[in-house]
Amino acid sequence: MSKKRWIGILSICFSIALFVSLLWGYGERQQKQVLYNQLEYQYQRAFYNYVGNLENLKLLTGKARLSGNLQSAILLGEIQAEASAAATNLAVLPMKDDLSRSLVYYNQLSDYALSLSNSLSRGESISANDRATLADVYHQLQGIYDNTMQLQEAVAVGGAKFVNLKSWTSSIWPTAQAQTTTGIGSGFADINRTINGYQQLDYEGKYASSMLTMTAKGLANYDKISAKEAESAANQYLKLCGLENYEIISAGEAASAQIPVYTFACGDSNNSINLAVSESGGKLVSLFGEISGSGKQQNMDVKSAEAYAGSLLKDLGYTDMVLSSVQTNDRQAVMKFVRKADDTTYYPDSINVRVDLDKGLISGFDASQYWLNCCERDFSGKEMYDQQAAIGGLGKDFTVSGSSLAVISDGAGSENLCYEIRGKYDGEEYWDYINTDGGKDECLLLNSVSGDSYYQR
Amino acid sequence: MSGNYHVIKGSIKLSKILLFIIIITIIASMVFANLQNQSVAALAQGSTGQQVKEVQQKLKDWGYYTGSVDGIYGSQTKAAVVKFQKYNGLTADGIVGSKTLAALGIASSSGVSSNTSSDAVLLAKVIYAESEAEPYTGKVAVGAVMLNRVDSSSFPNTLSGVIYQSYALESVSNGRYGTGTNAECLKAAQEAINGWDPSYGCLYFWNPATATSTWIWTRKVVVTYGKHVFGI
Repeated sequence: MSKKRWIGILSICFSIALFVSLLWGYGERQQKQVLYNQLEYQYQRAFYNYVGNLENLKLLTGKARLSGNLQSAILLGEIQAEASAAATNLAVLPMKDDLSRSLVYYNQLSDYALSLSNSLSRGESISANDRATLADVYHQLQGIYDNTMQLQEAVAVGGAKFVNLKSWTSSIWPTAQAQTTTGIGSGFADINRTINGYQQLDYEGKYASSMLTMTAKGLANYDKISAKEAESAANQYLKLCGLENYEIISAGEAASAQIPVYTFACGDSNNSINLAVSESGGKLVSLFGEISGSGKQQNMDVKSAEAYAGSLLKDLGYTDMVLSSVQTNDRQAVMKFVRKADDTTYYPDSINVRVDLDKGLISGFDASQYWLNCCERDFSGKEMYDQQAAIGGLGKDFTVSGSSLAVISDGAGSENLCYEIRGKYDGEEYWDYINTDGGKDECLLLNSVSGDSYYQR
Repeated sequence: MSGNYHVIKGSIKLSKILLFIIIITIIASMVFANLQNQSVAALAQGSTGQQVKEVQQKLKDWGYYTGSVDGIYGSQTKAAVVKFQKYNGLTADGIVGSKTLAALGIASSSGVSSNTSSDAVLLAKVIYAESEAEPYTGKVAVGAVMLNRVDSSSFPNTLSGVIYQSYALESVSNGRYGTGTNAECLKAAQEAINGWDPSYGCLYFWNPATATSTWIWTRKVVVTYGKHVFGI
């Protein structure tokens, strides 16, 4: 074949290859543009939703500071929802700067509105202090809103983007550079700094600052032990749990944990478990991991596992625990024990014990809630609501089977002494908790029973 | 004359090679672009983890595999997989994809039981993406960290909000989060939801060998499981 012919064939091949790659490149570029638009508009949607949340919050807090109780209850419910949504939308935005203080602000505002709403449902009024707080929040929101409106203008009018797509080679992932260029990132960082200057809300709730400083009440009166003493205690606990074949492989310290503990990784020839002993008092706080080997009784039934877990608790020195719930899954039984003393059940003082039914061994233990909450409680000094009145307040179709005193947590750092009224309604068992202080219905639980499992939810 | 002939022949040969490279490059780019979109989590030689263990155990139970069940997909495992695939009329490529997993009676990593709660599924996906090769306790600890964030005022107040928070999880940024999950991660997720917290209340975890953020080292380290440290 002649040289010219070869060159001709090659030129055609090159031209086809070039055409195909250009076509493919164009398609890729188009797809990139579509993805870029989608991503940018998802962020813009979250941003505009956030601005809307702020606008509503400003309006709602403005009204709530001076409305009557009934209207306030409705407004507070809306504030709770709007503040929660503001936190969610803000977290979606692709900001490199730490905006955690802003998230704390909205989460606490939502939580604060819920606590006020709960007070209203108990028949209380919004105090003058709380009205003043709402007024402060209103003014704070006004400032945040004004600053955020400048960012909105940058996005809506100035063409500011959350995502960077300047060149063919640039990534469509949002970059810090893009935010700096447009000022969105620095704008949010400035607002976060302003919010950081606001005093945190003083209230009782799930997200309240006081919850962060919560310490183990049950361990307050115990002395600290040394690492060596903790290791000795850990070996003792392994024996009590029927894991005498396990040896301590490594030891550590989790001094910054909510309950400061000494930690131990323990193993046998096949598996390892982790065990934690409290720095104060040397109590077994947790045991968790995959176990191997077998106990004295293999292929346990759930009743035997309950008895085994109960005897372990007695060996560990917990003499006043009663079984509250059992959940079985994947041949493991998880039992929740709660403290019962003086005919009162203390639900916050709970311990979970997990038994591997096949192996007949303890495979999990968690007493952290027990040690965080267990303490001397004093509910005296308040007039007890009449028990018969509490029972009478329930629907007439609710067939009562029993009643006793119980302490329950409100999930926000406080506890209530309640009448636990157990009974049936429409064939299902419910446990209702009526506050002995005023007779408010605090909680209603459905007692679910399925096979060997029973638990309240 | 002869010299000219060799030069022309040589240049034609070179042009052919160049043309071949260009065409292969175009085809490879197109195939790679499509592969990236599929994000299928298949097991192949070099894979490690619990699902490899499950595959090895099944193959061992059925007599295809005689090696140790160590969770490492080596040449012996590959040979056993090929043998199993041939015997069961599957493509004998030594790669355990969804069809081979189904033939082995193992749930696909992306196959999640319909009665699993949405939170457990979300959590299991994070655990798989962030700590698939870690010990079981570490997996539960990763799940617990996510739930501790939900309970912390510094983070969004829902599990989906925490997981999809911008820049919060590397596995969400790099796409590994979307590759599926497995039975062990689902179990770990359920245990975290049931309240087990081997992280002792931590809000962060990171791999010291790969972490690029200097800020993360300002956190107080509480406990270490496998290659991950957990901090507050």
